[in-house]
Amino acid sequence: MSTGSRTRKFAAAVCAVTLGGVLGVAELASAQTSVIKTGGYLAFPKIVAHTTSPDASPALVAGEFAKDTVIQLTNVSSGSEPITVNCYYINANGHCGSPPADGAQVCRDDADCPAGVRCLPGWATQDFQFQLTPNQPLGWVISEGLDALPCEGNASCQTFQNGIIPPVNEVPFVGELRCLQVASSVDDTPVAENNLKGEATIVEAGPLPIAADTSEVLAAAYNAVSFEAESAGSSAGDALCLGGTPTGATCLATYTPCASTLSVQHFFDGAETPQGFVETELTLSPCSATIEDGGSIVPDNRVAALILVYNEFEQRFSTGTVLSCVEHIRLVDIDTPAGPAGDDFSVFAVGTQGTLGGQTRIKGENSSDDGFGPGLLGLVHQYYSDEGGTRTASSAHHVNGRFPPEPIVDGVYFP
Amino acid sequence: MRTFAGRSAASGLALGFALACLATTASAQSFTVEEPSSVLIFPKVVCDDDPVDTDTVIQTTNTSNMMAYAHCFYTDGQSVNGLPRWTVTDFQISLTRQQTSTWSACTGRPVNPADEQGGLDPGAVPPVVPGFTGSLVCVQMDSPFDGAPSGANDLTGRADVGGAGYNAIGVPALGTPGDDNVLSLDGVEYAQCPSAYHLNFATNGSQGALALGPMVNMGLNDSVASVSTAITVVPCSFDFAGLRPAEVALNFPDIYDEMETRGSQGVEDPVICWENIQLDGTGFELPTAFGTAIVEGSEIQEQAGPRVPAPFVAVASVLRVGGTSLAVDSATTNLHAVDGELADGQIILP
Repeated sequence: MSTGSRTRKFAAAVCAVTLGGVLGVAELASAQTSVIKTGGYLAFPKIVAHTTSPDASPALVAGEFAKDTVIQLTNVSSGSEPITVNCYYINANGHCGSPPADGAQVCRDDADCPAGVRCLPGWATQDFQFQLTPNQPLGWVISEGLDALPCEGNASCQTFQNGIIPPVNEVPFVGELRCLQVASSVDDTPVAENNLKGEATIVEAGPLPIAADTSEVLAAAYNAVSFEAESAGSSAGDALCLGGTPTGATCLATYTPCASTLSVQHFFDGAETPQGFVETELTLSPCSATIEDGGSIVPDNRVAALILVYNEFEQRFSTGTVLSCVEHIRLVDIDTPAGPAGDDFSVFAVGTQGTLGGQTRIKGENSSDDGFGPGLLGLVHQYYSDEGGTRTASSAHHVNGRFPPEPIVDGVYFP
Repeated sequence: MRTFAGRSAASGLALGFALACLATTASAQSFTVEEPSSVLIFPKVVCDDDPVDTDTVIQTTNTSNMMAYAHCFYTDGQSVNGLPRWTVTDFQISLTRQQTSTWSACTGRPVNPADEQGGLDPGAVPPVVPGFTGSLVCVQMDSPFDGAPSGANDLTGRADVGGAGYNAIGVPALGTPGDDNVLSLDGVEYAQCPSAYHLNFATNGSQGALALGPMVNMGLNDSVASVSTAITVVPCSFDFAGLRPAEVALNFPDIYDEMETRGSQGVEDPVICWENIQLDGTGFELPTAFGTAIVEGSEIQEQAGPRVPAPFVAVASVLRVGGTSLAVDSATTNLHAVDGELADGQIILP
């Protein structure tokens, strides 16, 4: 896409936001990502772990919940050959003052760091590869991984089941997981097949310390976002092309595009429902990325997320944020400082909106001409709390999307 | 504080001007849980206090810049003294541009601008009867009362059943629907529904301990800790005029554990109207923590013969019990459709 084209798109978007309502335009549909279809490239936008392991640093404190993520991944092919899967944990932990390669302290905010040291965002990848035999399901907990793939000793799985599932390399861990079906264990070229499906469940237990009369279990499950492979590319390529060929890229394979606009139905924070008081975390992850095996994600992908919020009075509010990589953010922290300060003044607070629920529409915009696109993936993670503020249940929701006839183009690069 | 409990206060002025952008008719290709559609199916709606107090919160959204109208139908699939109710309650809603509307299945949403649940009331939404276990179907119409089906594909929806959420299954119109009262889900007028799904599940009992996540390491997985999976199934045909429940025969022809061992499981009785099926048969007793299965829907046949696919929609719910009465939570997900496995259904409006 040319710079001029991007400029025109950005100008059009700004103009339309000013006029109001452009994000509501219904568009003709095209091929699309899906959470109910199988694919060749899967994204799990939110995986988290913070366990009671003595290795966890910072450690959990009283009142917090331990959490972990259960991943289920299945080869739906009933063919005769196993498939090979390359997966990438994307570590979005913040660290105190230096990148994770230096072994710096993981932090959630500045309070986790020594005085005078900032908690800085950073993104790193951890890759692994394994084989799945026909129709084989596989499940693991990300803080533990699997030392060996399940096998009862028959010749088939002993012959074909190579690989292990490593645990995530840091606890606590926040980030995402992406998995790609490739040709073989010696050939990382993506194949134009769609044999993968996946689910993730974020399970939490607490508040700590665990006690029979006070401890709760929270479980929130979602389906992986599935990109269907549409055509094979060049083994000499450098990118997974989503929806088309990004500027300057050579496609390893082409997949279905990301949505041009995300639509999120949600409760406003603090709304009282039959299940309790609601608090929502929104995950946004740019579809475009540079994923270097075992290295850092190049953080030069900056996607502006333009956000419109509608309440049940048909009133519209707007806000926005900028993303370089996956972010899990409380709704009320999008337009107020992180933490509880100022939450009541957020456009996502029930007191501000005056209605229980609403719709938030999010459009990514990337005005650079660096081969990265504007696509975003999203996920809603909702917590219910009792009057004392203790979380009692959770759920996850897929976001809705719009897929225009001329798809938006994103690229996932493997240097 | 806005609540479902009481209703007062707060009516508001609708701001905004839908000027620049008129909504156009979308044309999605197949059933979906992502894109706006003209038919929404919520397969699992519960208002019951057995075994635990459970309510369902429904959210529907008009994603267009024009008014949208829908005719909605609750179908009660519960059995009383062994006899199924299969009763239908209908109501109509109107949504302004981009409006989301929220209501509780147990309490409904009366039209009362002075209540505490702020926002423009979409119309009178009736409460369901206590003990309700069934489905909700909403069909977009072109006018608020006695209109014809609309193919505008403007609606999205989600449901929270006792804190476990899923997206409504959307059936988009593919062209301009006829003005009769029969909606053909045939891939021409409206999209078809799936007739087979992939289902990933955690094995019941101790083998599924891995699926308990952090409870495994926290002393919560004592002798009563467990994980169990159920699927809620609704045939993708609805006769709201004749009140005749649709039927589908269900089968799990392929069940695989993590060691590629294959099994199968039949379902003795057909699903009529609505059913919640626990995956506790012998076919689901696996030696590994996780399994996968194909769920097939077929027409009920008098005589043996080739399978005739029948459309249905379903969601899966996994219940995790951590060993104390409080440590319980369920999670619900939409199922993955098997590629190319679609079948015709229909919706007959009164």
